[in-house]
Amino acid sequence: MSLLGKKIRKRFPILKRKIRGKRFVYLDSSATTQKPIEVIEKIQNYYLNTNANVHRGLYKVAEEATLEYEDARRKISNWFGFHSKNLIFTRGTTEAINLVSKSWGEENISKGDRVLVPLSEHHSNYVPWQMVCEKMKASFVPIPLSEDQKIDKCILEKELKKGAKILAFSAQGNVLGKKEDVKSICALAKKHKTTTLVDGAQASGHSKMDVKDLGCDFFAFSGHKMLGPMGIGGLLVADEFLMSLPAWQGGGEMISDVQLDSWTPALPPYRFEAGTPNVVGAIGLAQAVDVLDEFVQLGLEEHVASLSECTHEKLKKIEGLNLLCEKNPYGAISFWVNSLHPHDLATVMDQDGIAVRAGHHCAKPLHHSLGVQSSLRASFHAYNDFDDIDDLANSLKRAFSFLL
Amino acid sequence: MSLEDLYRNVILDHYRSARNKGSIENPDLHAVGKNPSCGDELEIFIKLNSDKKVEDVKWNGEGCAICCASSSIMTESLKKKTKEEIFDLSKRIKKLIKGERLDDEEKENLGELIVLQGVSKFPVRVKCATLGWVSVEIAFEGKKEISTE
Repeated sequence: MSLLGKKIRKRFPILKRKIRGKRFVYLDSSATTQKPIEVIEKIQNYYLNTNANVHRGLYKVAEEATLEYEDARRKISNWFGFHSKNLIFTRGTTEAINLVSKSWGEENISKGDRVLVPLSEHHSNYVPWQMVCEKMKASFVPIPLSEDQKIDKCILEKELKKGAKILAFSAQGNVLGKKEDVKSICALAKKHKTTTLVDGAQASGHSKMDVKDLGCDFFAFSGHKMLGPMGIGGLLVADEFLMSLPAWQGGGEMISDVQLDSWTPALPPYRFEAGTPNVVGAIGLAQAVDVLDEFVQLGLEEHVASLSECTHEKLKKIEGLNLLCEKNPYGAISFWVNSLHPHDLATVMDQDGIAVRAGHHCAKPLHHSLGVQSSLRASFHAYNDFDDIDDLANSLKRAFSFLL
Repeated sequence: MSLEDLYRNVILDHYRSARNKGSIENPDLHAVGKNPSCGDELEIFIKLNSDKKVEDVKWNGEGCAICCASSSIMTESLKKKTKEEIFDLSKRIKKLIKGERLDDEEKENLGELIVLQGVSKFPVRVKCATLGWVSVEIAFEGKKEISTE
């Protein structure tokens, strides 16, 4: 009996809502997780009591805001096994990857260089690399998936042997729900002197990740997929890259000095945080990390794994429904139905209070390679339970009864 | 009308056996309409007669049932109409789909098109239902392509 699911559902106020008179069945946590009351109250408390700009004011409240903000940086970086100086706050994973592709990429990638990206990546870890390759006249090399629907290691090794500047890949896919063996892939890349960036947006949502142990050079994550607020996330940078990384946006906070005709950058992480930061976001995320820690200790990974397996088994039995992931998906289950557009199905399911994602889930190259234009996706978190899956299956059957 | 009735009574019939689906060689007017976030994509082909009225119209493309059915229903109502008549009709239909109130005069001669009112209860699907109409408008305006985002 899981200590999660129904037992903790009441800590997520939004889940008490009725949708068209029905229970709200939220199955879109891969897009964003719902927020526990602790995080909501923390955000409210910040604006009620502590709001001031950080690193500037000399008064008591500004000092408190700065302390809370830097405590948040410490707590979040420690959660990932890093020192606080290695954590650059960003709006989320997308901005973190763009920071690397622009700052590190434009300094280190030049004409004829090769950039390796699995074709299953989310557009946020695909387009920034296409952009930098176009700009620097480098080659963008998509890596296919093997039969087990994970990165094809044979092809990857061949491509690494040919030489590559960077390998950017997700620790866990947002469509197929496949976990990669991040540590061995990073070690392989290191052997061939290729820099690594890991997109941790999905993987950091239900696990405690020791990023230092993974051995990657850059790690990007989003707070809103970890029970935290939207608009905050970060980039973890390994020591050997931190000092040499050039500034990418100019403004306040990121400088140590400005003269009439020159400027000197601040030390990291501030060098990369131009302008007023998302202080309340960082503080809210630090609170979310506490809740996530509690859930991980209560067995969050096992809980998500059993929900995934149960959904996979249930959907497999529905005639006419095709699963995109053949075996052992984790966290997200994507599926499609012949002659039915996912948006029509999602609209019917919405009538039953069920929230699923329908479309290409920002992974068009993957859908194209699977020969499917778009799909539906159910994804899970701590607050989901087996009755959510029953409701999902029943709603699908009802939709089929008149759509097919 | 419930969602189930909307699909059962109207949408699925046109989705499964779409009217005027295909293309026209050397059309006088041609345009492409896209809803990038949904992946709906359709093409409109129009042949005009000597009075500048629609002689023939075809649509082709991929999309959800609401987008395809709305385009199919639309093509049945365009023939023998002038640009002005089509724009007037399109304006009224878009109001209908968006759930805006039509006065009695605006409701006249809508025929089967009135069923599209059912879509107004599902705001996120409005742009699916209007894509065909928007594409016809831009074809008359001589533009090649429209993207709703």
